[in-house]
Amino acid sequence: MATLETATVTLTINERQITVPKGISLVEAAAEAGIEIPVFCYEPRLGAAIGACRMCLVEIEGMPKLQTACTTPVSDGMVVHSHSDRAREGQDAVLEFLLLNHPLDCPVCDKGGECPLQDLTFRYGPGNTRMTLPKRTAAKPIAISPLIKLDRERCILCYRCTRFSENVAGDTQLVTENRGAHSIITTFENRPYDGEFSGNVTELCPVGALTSTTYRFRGRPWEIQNVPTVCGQCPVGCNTYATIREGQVTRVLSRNNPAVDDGWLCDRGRYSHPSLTDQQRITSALIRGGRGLEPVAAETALDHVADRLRATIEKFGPGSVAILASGEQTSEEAHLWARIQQEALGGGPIVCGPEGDAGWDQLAAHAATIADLDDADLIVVAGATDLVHRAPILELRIRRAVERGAAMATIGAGATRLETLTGARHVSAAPGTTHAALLEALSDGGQLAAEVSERTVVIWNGRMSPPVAAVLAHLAHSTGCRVLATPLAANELGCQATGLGGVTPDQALAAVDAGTVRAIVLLGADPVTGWPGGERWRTVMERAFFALQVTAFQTGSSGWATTIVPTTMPLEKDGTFTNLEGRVQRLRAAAQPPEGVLDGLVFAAEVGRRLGLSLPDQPPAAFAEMGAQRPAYAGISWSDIGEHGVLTQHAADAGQAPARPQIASGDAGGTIVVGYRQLMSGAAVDHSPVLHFQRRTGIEISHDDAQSLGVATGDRIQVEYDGRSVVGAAVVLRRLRTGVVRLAVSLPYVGPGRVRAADGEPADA
Amino acid sequence: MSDEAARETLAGARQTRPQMPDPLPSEDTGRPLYDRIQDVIALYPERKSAIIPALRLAQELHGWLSEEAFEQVADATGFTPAYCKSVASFYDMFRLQPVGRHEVCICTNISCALVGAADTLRAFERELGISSGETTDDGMFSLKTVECYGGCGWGPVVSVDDRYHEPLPAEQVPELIARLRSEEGA
Amino acid sequence: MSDLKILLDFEGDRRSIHAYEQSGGYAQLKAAFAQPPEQIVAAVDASGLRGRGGAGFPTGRKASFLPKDRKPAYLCVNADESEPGTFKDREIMLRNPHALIEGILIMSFGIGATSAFIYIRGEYLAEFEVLKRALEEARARGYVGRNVLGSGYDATVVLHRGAGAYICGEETALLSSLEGERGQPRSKPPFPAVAGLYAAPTLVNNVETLASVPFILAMGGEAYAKIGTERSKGTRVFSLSGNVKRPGNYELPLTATLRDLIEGHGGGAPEGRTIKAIIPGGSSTPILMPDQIDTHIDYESIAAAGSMAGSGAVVVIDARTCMVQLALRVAEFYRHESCGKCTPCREGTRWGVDIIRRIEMGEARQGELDLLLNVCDRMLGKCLCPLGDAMAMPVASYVTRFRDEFQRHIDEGCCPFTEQSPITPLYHHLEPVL
Ligand SMILES: Cc1cc2nc3c(=O)[nH]c(=O)nc-3n(C[C@H](O)[C@H](O)[C@H](O)COP(=O)(O)O)c2cc1C
Ligand code: SF4
Ligand code: FES
Repeated sequence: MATLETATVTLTINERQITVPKGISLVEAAAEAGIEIPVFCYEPRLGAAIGACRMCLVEIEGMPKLQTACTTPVSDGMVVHSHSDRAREGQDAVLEFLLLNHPLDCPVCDKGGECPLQDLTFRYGPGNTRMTLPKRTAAKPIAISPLIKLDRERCILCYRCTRFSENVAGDTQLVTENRGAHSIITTFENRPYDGEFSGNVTELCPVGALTSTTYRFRGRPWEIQNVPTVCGQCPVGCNTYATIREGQVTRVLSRNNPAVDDGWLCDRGRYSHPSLTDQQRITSALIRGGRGLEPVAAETALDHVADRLRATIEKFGPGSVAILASGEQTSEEAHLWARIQQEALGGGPIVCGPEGDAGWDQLAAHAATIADLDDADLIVVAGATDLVHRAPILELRIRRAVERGAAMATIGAGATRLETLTGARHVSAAPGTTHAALLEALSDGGQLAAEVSERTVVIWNGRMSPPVAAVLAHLAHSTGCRVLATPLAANELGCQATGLGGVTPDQALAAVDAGTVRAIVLLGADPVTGWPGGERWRTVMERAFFALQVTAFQTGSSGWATTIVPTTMPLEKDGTFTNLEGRVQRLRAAAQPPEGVLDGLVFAAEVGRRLGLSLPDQPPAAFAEMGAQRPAYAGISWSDIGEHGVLTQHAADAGQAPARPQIASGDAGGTIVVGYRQLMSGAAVDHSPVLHFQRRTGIEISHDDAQSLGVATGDRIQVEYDGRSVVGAAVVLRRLRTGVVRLAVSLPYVGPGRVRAADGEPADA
Repeated sequence: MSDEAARETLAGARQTRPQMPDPLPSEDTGRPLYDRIQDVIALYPERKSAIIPALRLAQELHGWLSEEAFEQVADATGFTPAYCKSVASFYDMFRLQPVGRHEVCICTNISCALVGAADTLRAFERELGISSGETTDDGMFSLKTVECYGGCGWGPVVSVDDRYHEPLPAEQVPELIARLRSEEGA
Repeated sequence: MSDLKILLDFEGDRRSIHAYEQSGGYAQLKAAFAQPPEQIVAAVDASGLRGRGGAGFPTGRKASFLPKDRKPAYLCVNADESEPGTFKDREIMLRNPHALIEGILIMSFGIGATSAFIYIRGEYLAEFEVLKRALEEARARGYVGRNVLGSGYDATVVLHRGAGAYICGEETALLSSLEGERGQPRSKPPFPAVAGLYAAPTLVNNVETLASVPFILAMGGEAYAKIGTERSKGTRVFSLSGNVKRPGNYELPLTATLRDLIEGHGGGAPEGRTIKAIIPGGSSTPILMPDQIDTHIDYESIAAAGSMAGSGAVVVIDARTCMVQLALRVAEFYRHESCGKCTPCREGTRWGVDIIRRIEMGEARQGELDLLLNVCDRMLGKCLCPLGDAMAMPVASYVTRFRDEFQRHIDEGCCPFTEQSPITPLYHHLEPVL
């Protein structure tokens, strides 16, 4: 194999002799020689070239017909002409055929100015138009979803969008119907295209046929500017361009980083920017007084916050302030808050996210990179839900790896999309015991034991907890496999690595119960509605001497905050995030925050200064300090980060293999409820209504349980768990494990419960 | 145009056309569609190959491919309804709209056209009072012009409910329709 | 004219396996297992047999392109017969189904195929049923199934019905359709012999081609090669249709002429009709003039006469017929069947039809004849598969051969043949151009 790849061939393109790797196409070869061959349908990320549009016709000596450069592999001694009269005649013919139907509405087309068809017509196009037949007409743009409009008159049938939907996203919702000139791009019975990756088709479309409703007519290419940044919506950290017009984000585009995203984005990352300017955004600090929360000037708020914190420590002693962070702060903000807690507030508890710190350090030495998936022999995904909810883009990466021959196994409750990949095997596990099933499957005698090697990547798609970390560390040690775990929040690893974290929510609650905690600082966190033990957190806040909430929007916890300070969202921040593989990436402040919103880093620095600390309030300075004080960032300079980020140094592995953890596997029986946080949730989504149609509704239930309950898809059923009761429409799944009930919730839960037909008997009586 | 010459050609066609076999009994055992589709899937190395046969089974069951039919095929094959319809809509024999109880298809390609297919078509239209692409009000007949049916030497070729009638000159149309009507009556 | 016949050399039919075995059927299959597979391919190669599906590629050569011992490997039988004018495979399947099945089994063994698939056009219901019965009989006799005749060779044959799309006769489109996709052609390379069905080595052959194989083995490749001309070997079944006295399928050695077929077997034009033009190889082939009736029917002679042997479908057109209407009907067919994948075919067929429609309707301006020729020229050789050419070539030939007739339509602003031409009444049934 390797020898094949390294072999080269020498050919001549337009009188230029070049030597290129064997097996590449003429289009790629020409590109290496700096020669551009025009293409429309060719896009290597969509799979093998299909040679449909015929734009890339070239003349190859010794061949009677023109050939499509995109589908023709290079061969030794080939002599190719892409500018000869015959080649140009072919390209000109194809363009004329394409323009037969293409409307001449470029002036009002969003693609105008950045449209390949427009450019190629200008450069290669037919001077004369001699079309005698009427253009095919179609209803002007129709919505194929609240996010995307389709103008069929502009479509040139390159099948990029449909190949994306089928081959890359795997949702196969956007398809071609009919035949020949009647062919149209469409969804089934005009249902909305609700795949989580749908927005990518608007970037793939080479004409103005598929456009984002959020961007249409918003800007002309020459009035806008694209700021390179990173998506802050999940721990993958896809690289993006934020298109800015008059200080506002008008769209988010992908910025291909082959190591991370391969140029794809999920719709949460692409379409949650409207939340930046949502009218519910808090734009002034609020302090609770006689008449409830009242606006105050920023300076006042800063003095007040510093004063209250100082007072807390004076009154109740060091360590009496608890900090709860959401994990969406930049690493620089996190570093500052950690310092404030340690150096000014006496080191009270710090919690990062509802899942809290759970032995990530044990895994650091075995962390796989996202790119490791590309040449993995075996990929194991363990978890009770679709991976898309915690790390969307990884699904696309895995799909591609399996297409290329990687073996694939899933371990969990079943009925996830990755199980449908060719050759994928599934190990059924009761939610809550997935890590046990994983341990069993990969250890000696297990189903997958024989295949596990250094070229195995295990993805833990669920909550990290000490027992889980122990299993993963043990497997990594004993089998050499590498591990990708999926934090809940976008910069959870960055926060952990900079000291904003270290305590689990339960430990924090223990401290609270012990009565030591008297003030609480919420950095984006919403413990009352989004964390386990919400009720207790509410009491803490009620009783707190001082309860500060630093947030962009009011949340379920706001009702008990004594002070609320508006803060910036990722697209407004400058700084770094560390993604799930440990890659440090650079956020750039693309949008101006609304008037009255305080930059997260400046706020922390100012509070610190008022508490007598001197803290850097510029990201580069803060980062430099991290390098000196936080091992993970040692030796990385601000400039090292560059356009595509840099991997943090992992402390070398301690060496001695942890013993095989003893865990009870197997099924306790009865109904197990899996309540998970779906991709389309969180403040940015909540405040971007255009995304809401993509939310998963309904309660997933197995075929057998549906039978015994006598319910079918669409019937109303009721789930009871953890003192809650939810009624919803049943979604019957043939491949879901019997006994499992799965639904999207705001507060994650895995445990016993009961399910019944909305007006029937319990299933597990 | 049924002049001497046309009659001569028809006579020749009747001589050279092979004897057609008797139809096989239909296979619909009344088993659930889902199960019958699983049987078809078992015939192929990859399940995708079963989509066209599965769509045919669904069409035989429903008479046409309704939204519901696509949902059923999708559920049984594991592909999306969108994919199933994308495939179905490529092929002329899949019906995306309901049709009459008898579907009459008339080949209008060159060989048949040269020996009077147009007159045969006209005759059907006259007898049924509809034109190609339409269905009679009583929902009994649908009329459709089709491309070459592979009976070029034995034309004009007409198929009724997938069974060929060839050659079928205009003058035999009334009798054929009468027979179909009486069969329904009986 | 020697009247040697091979495939259809009998009265009635041999549908039943008894009838076929009586005539020596399945003896070659037994014999085949006695020799190494490559000898079978070698014999077919020696026979000079060329594909009867349309392209006329040497069958033995194509079979030898399959990489040896790569498993799985497949044989796909092209029974999609959809080229207007062609109805020969249908008669072979109706009257001599076991010859096809035996040919399939021999060839499968020859190339080491793990299974064979018969892709039969959906409209051929009776023919499907005949093959179904025949396969059951063959299975009952142990010719199909595990360990055929104790040879250790397992033969699986799957009957697969199409659903109405001419393009699925094109070999790569056939594979797409058989895989459960829209029947769209795939760009070559890779060729099916290397990466065909399910990306495995695959041989695609026409019904007549495979049905000839048992006879070739029976008489020996060299003997078969003695029939026919230098480069066109054996007999071929010609589908004769249109304005003749006795239309039908006629099997002739490739030494015969169009006159032998049209007048000798077909009885010539009916009383009081005169021949205006001849389509020699199916509707996709350029048209020939009456004075070319003495052209020999082998691949080379027809090519030399300016056309192509194609699928062996000869359509005789008499003097009443309007050539513009014929062009319109042919172009309309290819527009309707264009799969829509590639630009020049999808748009060119549409544009071509519209120009011809305007000419027939008397709406065309001077100069549109040359525009039509230019559109054909711009399609030629630029499409993903030959379907675009299949419209461009015949249409261009009609215009060049009957230019005056086309020109009259433009000059007179109407069709001069409306009264007499048998195609006239079809107009209101042509799908309107998009
Ligand atoms: C548009 C198009 C339609 C075709 N239709 C058929 C067909 O109906 N039957 C057939 O045997 N070959 C057909 N062919 C030829 C096939 O592509 C292929 O060459 C043939 O099946 C190979 O078998 P052979 O070598 O035995 O002829 C068609 C080709 C094209 C381009
Ligand atoms: S909508 Fe755009 S991407 Fe899709 S086929 Fe049409 S032109 Fe191509
Ligand atoms: S780019 Fe080569 S055919 Fe489209």
